[in-house]
Amino acid sequence: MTEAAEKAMTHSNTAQVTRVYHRLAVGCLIAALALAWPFAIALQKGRRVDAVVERGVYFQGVKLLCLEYAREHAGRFPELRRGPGRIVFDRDGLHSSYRLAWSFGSRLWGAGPPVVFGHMDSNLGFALGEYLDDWRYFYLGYAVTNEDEARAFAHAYRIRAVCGFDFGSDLWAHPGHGTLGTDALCRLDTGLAAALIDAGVWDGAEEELAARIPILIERPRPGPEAGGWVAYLDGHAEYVPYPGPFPMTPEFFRILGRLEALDKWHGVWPQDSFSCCPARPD
Amino acid sequence: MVDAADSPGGDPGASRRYAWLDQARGIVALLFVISTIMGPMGGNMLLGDRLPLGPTYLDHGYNYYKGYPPLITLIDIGQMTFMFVLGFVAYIAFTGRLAKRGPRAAWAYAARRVGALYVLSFIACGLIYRLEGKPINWPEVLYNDIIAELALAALFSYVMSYFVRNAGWRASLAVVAFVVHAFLFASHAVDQYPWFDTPLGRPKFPLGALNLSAIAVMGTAFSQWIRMDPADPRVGFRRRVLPVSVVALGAGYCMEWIQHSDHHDVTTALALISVGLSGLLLASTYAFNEAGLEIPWLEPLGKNLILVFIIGALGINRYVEALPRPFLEAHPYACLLLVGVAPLALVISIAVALDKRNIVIRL
Repeated sequence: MTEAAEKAMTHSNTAQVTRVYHRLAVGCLIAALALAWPFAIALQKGRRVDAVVERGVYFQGVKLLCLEYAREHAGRFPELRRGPGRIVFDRDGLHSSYRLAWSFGSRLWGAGPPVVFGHMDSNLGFALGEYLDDWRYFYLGYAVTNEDEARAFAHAYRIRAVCGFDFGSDLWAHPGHGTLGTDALCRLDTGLAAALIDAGVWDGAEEELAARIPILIERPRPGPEAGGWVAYLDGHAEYVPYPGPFPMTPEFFRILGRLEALDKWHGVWPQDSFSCCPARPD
Repeated sequence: MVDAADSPGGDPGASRRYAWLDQARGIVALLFVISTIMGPMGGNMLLGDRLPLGPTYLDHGYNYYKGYPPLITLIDIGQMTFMFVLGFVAYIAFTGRLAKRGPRAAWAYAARRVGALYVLSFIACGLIYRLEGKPINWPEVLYNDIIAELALAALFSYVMSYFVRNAGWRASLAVVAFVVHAFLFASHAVDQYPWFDTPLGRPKFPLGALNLSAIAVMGTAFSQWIRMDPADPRVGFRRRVLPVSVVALGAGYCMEWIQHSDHHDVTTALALISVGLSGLLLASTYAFNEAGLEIPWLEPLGKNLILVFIIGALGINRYVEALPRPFLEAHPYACLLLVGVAPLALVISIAVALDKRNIVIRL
């Protein structure tokens, strides 16, 4: 083969390969352009789910605080905040943090916000400031498993909150309107499921009962993924659609809304005029 | 993107061992053994509960940090390269039997391979779990664990090699799978690997297995392209392997801006980068071979890739996990010898010994 023929062949090969590159690049570009719009829609849908997941991550942090508190207080969950209108736990008994991540507080990173670490996965951090936002969550402090019990809770809450009593003990309820048909709304405790089974209130498995008692309820958000996170006594959390099964029912949130409204009445509604209010214990 | 060059015009019946391919398989085998020994060496970099040991770029990012975006390291490509090579070799072996002995023999071979991998998967994620007192993890046995993913990838490679004879069409179908995966992942239509979205109750879907199988199918296309001119593999490298690898790398880079790489769900960005790097790996071992350059021990390792895989998955993993962690943390030299060198030396010695006796373990 002459040198000229060899050169011509190399040139032809190079041109052929360049054509392959061009065709592949143009193919990719056309595919990318054609898929851009549907992909944007998919991304948008995914971001809505991401937002729910992000709320869930913070929610798990709050749940963890309650569980940690219970672990440190012989199974007792935090007390419901005293005073009307705020259906959340009392922060007094809670530590400001449980386990700080040293990497976030290292010399390199500066002090930064306090970060709490939990055990549900190996490394997720939660800034306390955000997750103690008491508007986002409802914490009843009592075992309330349906709307009937929620109404009994609301009645008992009004009396105690307006009178300024604490929420350290079980709440009285009309016979049969307490937790699972008992005469009282039981304070949340890690041993509650076992105690209810011992009392003959529940004849199923302990895990099954613990998985039915909500301890922390997120205020539901509207939108295509409408719903809220609910944490249960066994420690698991679920995203429950709204409207959906208890506690994500409109009636339940109407009851809670009316309790929140008590905050506005406080001060203009003197305790003495509340005839059923028993004397405040010292 | 299809022309005559994609047609099965080569000589699939002429199935012979390529030294350069064994070298590439050897590198994959090494990466696999390293990833196995590095697994128990990780440590949580945020909590600082354990001191990470060994070269951190050779351990999966999730062994140091489980969060978003995921931490991706060099070794994260290893599993996908393994799948690619599996598809590449599956095409040669399957079509070789198809041409020489007919469909019955080819499918019998395919069934034997897939069946053997599922038996291994059952031993690793079923039988051993049961012996340890844990319940059998059926999703892992069937599609979630690496061995099951290998079985699925092999199955798809054989099926696609048989029913879609055109390499270009096969590669296009693999790209369609990548696109479907990207949409499923972006829209959260199915449950993803991390726990975060599990309480949402999304339907379970083997996202990882989907893209790993697509990578293996891509491997079958590369395998056919290399034999575009049976007399001269350079033609296939020049006209298909290199251009497709470079474009895959470019596409993977662009995709990374839109959707992060994720090891467990094998996102499309990671899959494309793996395809690109696997193509370049083949091209470089081929070029080395052409230049008369050879890295010792890689060829014996590559020849007995399956054996290395079995030793790694069932033996080395358990050996490294059994070593006392505080002792390894306190004695770096002992850690280097016991974890970093001994398993590699053992695997290489076995591979070299078998190679000297011309023994190749096949399933």
